[in-house]
Amino acid sequence: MSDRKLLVYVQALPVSISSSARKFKDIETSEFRMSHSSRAALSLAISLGFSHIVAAGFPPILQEALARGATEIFPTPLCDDPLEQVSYLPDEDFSHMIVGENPDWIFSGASICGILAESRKIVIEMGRPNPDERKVFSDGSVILVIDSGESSGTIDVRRIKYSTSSKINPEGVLGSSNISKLEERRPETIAGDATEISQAIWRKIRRIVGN
Amino acid sequence: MTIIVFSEFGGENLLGKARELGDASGEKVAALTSKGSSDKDQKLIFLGADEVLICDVKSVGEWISVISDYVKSDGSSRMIIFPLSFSSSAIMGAIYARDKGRFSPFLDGADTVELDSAARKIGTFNFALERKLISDKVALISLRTASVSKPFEDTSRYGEVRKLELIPSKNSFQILLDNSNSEEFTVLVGRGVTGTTAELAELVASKYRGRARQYSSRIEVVYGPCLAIEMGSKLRDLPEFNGELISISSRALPINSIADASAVIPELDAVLQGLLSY
Repeated sequence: MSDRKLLVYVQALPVSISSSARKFKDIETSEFRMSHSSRAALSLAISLGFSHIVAAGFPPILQEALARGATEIFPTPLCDDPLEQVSYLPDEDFSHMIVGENPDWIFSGASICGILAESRKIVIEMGRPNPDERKVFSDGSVILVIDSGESSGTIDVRRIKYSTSSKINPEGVLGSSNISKLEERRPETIAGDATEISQAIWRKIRRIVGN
Repeated sequence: MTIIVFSEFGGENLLGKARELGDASGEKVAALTSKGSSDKDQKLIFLGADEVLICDVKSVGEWISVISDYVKSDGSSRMIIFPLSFSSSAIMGAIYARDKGRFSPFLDGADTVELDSAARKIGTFNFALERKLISDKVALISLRTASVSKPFEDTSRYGEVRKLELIPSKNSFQILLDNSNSEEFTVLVGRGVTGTTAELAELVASKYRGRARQYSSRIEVVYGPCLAIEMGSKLRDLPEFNGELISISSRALPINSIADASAVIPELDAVLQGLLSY
């Protein structure tokens, strides 16, 4: 086990959004969950065998980070701007900084990696939360963890008591974005014979993939 | 003012959207690209660029200095549109960190971009988050190529080609990422689907540059668009679908109630063969 620390940035996502929400700040009253990619990032961090893992992120998800193997937490506000978000991360000498790809948020993990790499002049590398893939990462690099969408481990039940007894100071939601409601989705039923159905689906796939 | 399209990693497919914005505002559209052939440069003009800016970059990280320096010296840039990919987002982040005073707002994975704003859907919610563009700053936006129509190649268009100097930077770093993203097209095959149907699903995925996956309970999220074939699981056992979902099955299934489009037909193989024939 190395004595140096790993930093894992964990992304909070709202579980629901109030229909009255108009500004980014209005999501402050939502419930939050940890992004799937952040779970993958924690899974990779644990597989690297470090004894100190600092999880930095929005407080409502930090107990889960402790239960998933983080040894320390660093609460930050939730921002709609990646540079502002990174400005709240601890500025220590970490062995690696690990970020999930978070495609479901308004800035991706790759953007966070670009900001960290530029501001700290470090290499960006790719990693996967697969214990079979024993990749050696460059010292001091920021690692973008690719999320296949597959399960990356469950909560460690031995750590639940520790995580729930940890006191975590609250932080706010910071941003100037607007929130607007989209039109209700209307599910479409495609009817017809095999040829008609395959033509309708082909048109949809062609639009999606740009063929 | 200029709308710049980062025309690497498939970014040329965003030129149609940029052209639409340029025509609406009277602004110039510039395509930023690496050194290639004159045919490639000409094609970018046909796709909608008024100007093609070429720079002889050797690594992904060099784009950071190229773009930062160009925007600083040019002074007329309004927005830079990137195709959504790991490398693009890392470049955007680094540019933003280098010169925040010049760039704003920042949005990754936009579904829409207009002259005054850009927006994206948040997760699986029916809500979009919108960022307003700021008149004296340059917006950094990565756009899903699936969100825009493929540009029309008009061979009567004229444009200029200009070379940009690459000034070596001592502050560069390596970006060891690939140009993919996790929002690729997925063909998700239900449990117990084997034989010809499974083989055809693999071929459909390959034809449309996606990947086929056999469903297992380990799959918790599918980020990109998905064609689900005979996915018989209960709703609570299904993964979270963040992209557009199309379902085809031989009988009515719970997934159809959450799919954007669904078809029920006993002749599944005939439908898949049809998808391979177009």
